[in-house]
Amino acid sequence: MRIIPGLFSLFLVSWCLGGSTLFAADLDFKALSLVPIQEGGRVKPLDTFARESVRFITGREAFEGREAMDTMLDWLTHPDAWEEKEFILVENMDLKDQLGVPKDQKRVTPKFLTHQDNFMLFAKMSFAKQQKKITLDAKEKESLAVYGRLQKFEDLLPGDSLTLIPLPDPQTYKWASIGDLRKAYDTNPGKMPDAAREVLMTFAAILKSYDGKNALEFSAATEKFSGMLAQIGGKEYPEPSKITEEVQFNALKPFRKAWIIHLTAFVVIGLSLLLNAPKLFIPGYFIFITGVLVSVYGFTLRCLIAGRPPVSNMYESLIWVTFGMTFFALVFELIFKNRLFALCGSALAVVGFVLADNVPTILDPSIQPIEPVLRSNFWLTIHVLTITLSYAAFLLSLGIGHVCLWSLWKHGGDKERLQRQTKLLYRVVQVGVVLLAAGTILGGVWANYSWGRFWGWDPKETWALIALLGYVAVLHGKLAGWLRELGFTIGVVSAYLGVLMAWYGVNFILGVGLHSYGFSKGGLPYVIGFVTVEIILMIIVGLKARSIRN
Amino acid sequence: MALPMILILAVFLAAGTIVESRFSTVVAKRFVYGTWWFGGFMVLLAVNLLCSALSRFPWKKYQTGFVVTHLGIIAVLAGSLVTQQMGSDGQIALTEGEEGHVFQEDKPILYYQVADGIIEQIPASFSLLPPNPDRPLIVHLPEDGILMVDQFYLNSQKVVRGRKTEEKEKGFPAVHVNLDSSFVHENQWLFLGHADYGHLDLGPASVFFEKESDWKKRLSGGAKEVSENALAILLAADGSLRYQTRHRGEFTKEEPLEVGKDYSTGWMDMQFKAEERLSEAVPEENFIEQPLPHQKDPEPAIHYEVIQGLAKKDGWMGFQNQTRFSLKDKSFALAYGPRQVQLPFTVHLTKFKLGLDPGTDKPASYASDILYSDPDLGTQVPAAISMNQPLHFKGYTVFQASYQPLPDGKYISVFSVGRDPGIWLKYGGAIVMVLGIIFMFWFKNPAWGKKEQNAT
Repeated sequence: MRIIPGLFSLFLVSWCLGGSTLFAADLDFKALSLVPIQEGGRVKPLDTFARESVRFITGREAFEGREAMDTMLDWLTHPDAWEEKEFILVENMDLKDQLGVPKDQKRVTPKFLTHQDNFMLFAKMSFAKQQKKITLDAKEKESLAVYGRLQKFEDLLPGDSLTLIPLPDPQTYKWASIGDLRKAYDTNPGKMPDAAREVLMTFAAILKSYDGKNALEFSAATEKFSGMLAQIGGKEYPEPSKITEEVQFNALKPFRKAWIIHLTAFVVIGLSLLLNAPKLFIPGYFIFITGVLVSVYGFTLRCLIAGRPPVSNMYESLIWVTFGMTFFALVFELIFKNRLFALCGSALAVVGFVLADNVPTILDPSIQPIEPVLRSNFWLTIHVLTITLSYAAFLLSLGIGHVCLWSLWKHGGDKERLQRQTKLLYRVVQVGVVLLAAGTILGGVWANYSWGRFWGWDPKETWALIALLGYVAVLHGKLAGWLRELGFTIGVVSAYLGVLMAWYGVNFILGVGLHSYGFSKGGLPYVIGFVTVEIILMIIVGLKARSIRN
Repeated sequence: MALPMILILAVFLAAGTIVESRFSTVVAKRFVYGTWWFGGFMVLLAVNLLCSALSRFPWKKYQTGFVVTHLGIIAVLAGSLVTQQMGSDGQIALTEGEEGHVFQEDKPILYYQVADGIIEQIPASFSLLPPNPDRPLIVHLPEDGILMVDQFYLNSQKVVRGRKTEEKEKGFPAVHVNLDSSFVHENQWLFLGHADYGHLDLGPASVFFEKESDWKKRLSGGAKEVSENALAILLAADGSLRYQTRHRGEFTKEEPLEVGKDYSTGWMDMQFKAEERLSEAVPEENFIEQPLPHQKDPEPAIHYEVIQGLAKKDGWMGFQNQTRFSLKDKSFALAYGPRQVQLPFTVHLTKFKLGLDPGTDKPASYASDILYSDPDLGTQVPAAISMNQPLHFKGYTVFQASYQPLPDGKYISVFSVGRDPGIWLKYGGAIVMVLGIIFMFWFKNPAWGKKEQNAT
């Protein structure tokens, strides 16, 4: 019997590792996507560069359903046509108003922006303000973002941002760009070294064959191009295996696959509980394990690419916490032999990974170098991982808490069932409390080591403490016998708001303090919506549970 | 008792972070974390923890975790108290090649010195009862002198107005300009030829006030310093005002300028107006009280008055400022700024090194090569300080905090300097506390289930 779920998992794994709708049918972008480019402080495949650029400018990686590399090559070959196309993202409503853009229009044309004198000046003034360290409002910030998108597009056209040629400047270590070569050619073609002229010609051949949709010529040109650059690079050039790894990671999208698998697991496990069919649980559990393994694989690749643990921004911490939560769910499942853990684990994994996969302007998935103060893999690993693992345990407790709420609603009179479930909840919270306490203290030790003080009431520190106090209060209430099943469950679910504030709120709402490397904006209406729904849910369940008890 | 205290503390802290987000770290410290009532609450918390641990004496085995955890927290709180009372924490900024042995603590102080006497200091954070004209802070100086602080603004704004010169006073031609558009509002006095108040810089646009002849010279010299968008208010040889604007690099014709009339700059739909002009004026600095700024440190200011016999001198001083004057042939010096603390050794900054991520201008690492003097040995010891790698010496720790580039290519390196005698108590307490929580997993409270059954 167990062979079937095993085979099924095997099929899933092979789908995850093999299934690649990587490249468009007619033109083969493979050789080009593997060409290294130096950008944003690291060397990455051109594939990553194209995806990041298209995502940055348009807000979507697959703009109009095309591959990012395809879109980028089209920009380079038909700049005039694109000048008139609406593809530059504008999000802020006030700014749209100022620009005279309808509220439901998401994107504008480059031409439109460059003809808005007042906007261009406003963006430059916002930039001057930012340089003077004056706090910008949302409209000013967005004007900078829009200006940045336009700039990114305009830097791309002459090839200034295509820093593909591995001849580092001795001062800045900056690679030369296609734009540099073009300029050199324009000023004095005779003085140019043959190799450089050859690179430029080949690049032109790539664009020409792209334009003519000539698959054979395109493949030949791209391969020649990549070979020439590798030869120039010599020892400077990154290991081909590293570049391949990253292109693989981009194509596989392990965290997108993880949520699809977890969704399947959730449905199967849910059915097994609903139909009271324990046999169905085993395949469900195997699918769940597969989901966890796929995310392990994703993290391994991401760590290898970045050379550090993936906990430096909101996107990375979200996928990490979600993964940590599934890990705890697995472990608790094994210890307590209770199917609720796998159920909650898979359900929350779907929520977490879907969120991470779908809001790139708020949760930026690109891999970036980190702030100097974070460049200590030892501390980053032990402090941030401990803290985020505590968030993971609390996330699981939120899930179990909802199961308890369900039981209170549905089986309010079933005392034995409720006690069993709150006991599980208690255990999960305990694990979270140990990790959060330890992680916060480790943060203090690191802070003492690099900022010179153990504790400074920095908002991030303070909210970690508040979250801890919240859970400690609930545990005290339980131990003292003041909180019974209903009170304890509601307490645990409410205490999660502290975690939400420490994790999301400090970075996205408060936006002050020393932990500024993770600061960003956006998503507040969704979070407020979530909190409101939770509060209403708790009130309804609370009222019903009381009426059952009485 | 424990539960309400935990909840009250959580609410206080949450309020503190909101204050910090709304205003600034300095404000949060002043009104929440640094107050006597917050400290008092912490002491109360420690007493509560101690009582709850002691009240269960003699301790049973299952209570190990509980007792250990609570004692750990008490140790952490005690360590914090030691740090607060005996520790110090500040910053020292050195330019390359500079040597220093004084660091600045984040505590406002008013320093004063009479003639060649010793420099005295009074705390000037005024967090409890800020001085005002009805209740000034009075300090008696030698020989019946009096120093008074009769006004304190936690946040203030320096306003510069043109004041007509008095007799024998040297002044500048001045004009009060008002700029107005849907994006920007500016209102400022410009003084022709003044180093600080001669020119208004708006980033991509700027406003000049110059003699017409100088402006002409500037234009014929290529107008390199003039931004793409500019407004020049010009003083003609006959004493009349004229103006010229520049938009996207194109100059318009010079036109006469009337006081009180609106004109267009040609850029950003910007209107401008010369509200007032004075032929001879000096900038007069004044401070007006401002509401606390949003997400910015406040800029405090004090108003002082020194009385010596019948002579008297008063004035405003912004933070990080000093002033010197003479009254009745006696010199006075006042300085208002952060507390200056002596290090028991000197630090000499040899070189600051900024590492960049390859191909970008994003900093990847900060490091400083320094020499510190060892007073016992009388030698200079070389050391390197970088992020995550501080210098420990004589009980002090020197950390790399930040840096500032200077126009001449040199760097200022900013170090945090601290002494924390309570740190081991805090570390020890923290370890004990975490061990305690882990113990709680093992030793279960046998009364747990019972109480619950009683309750039902």
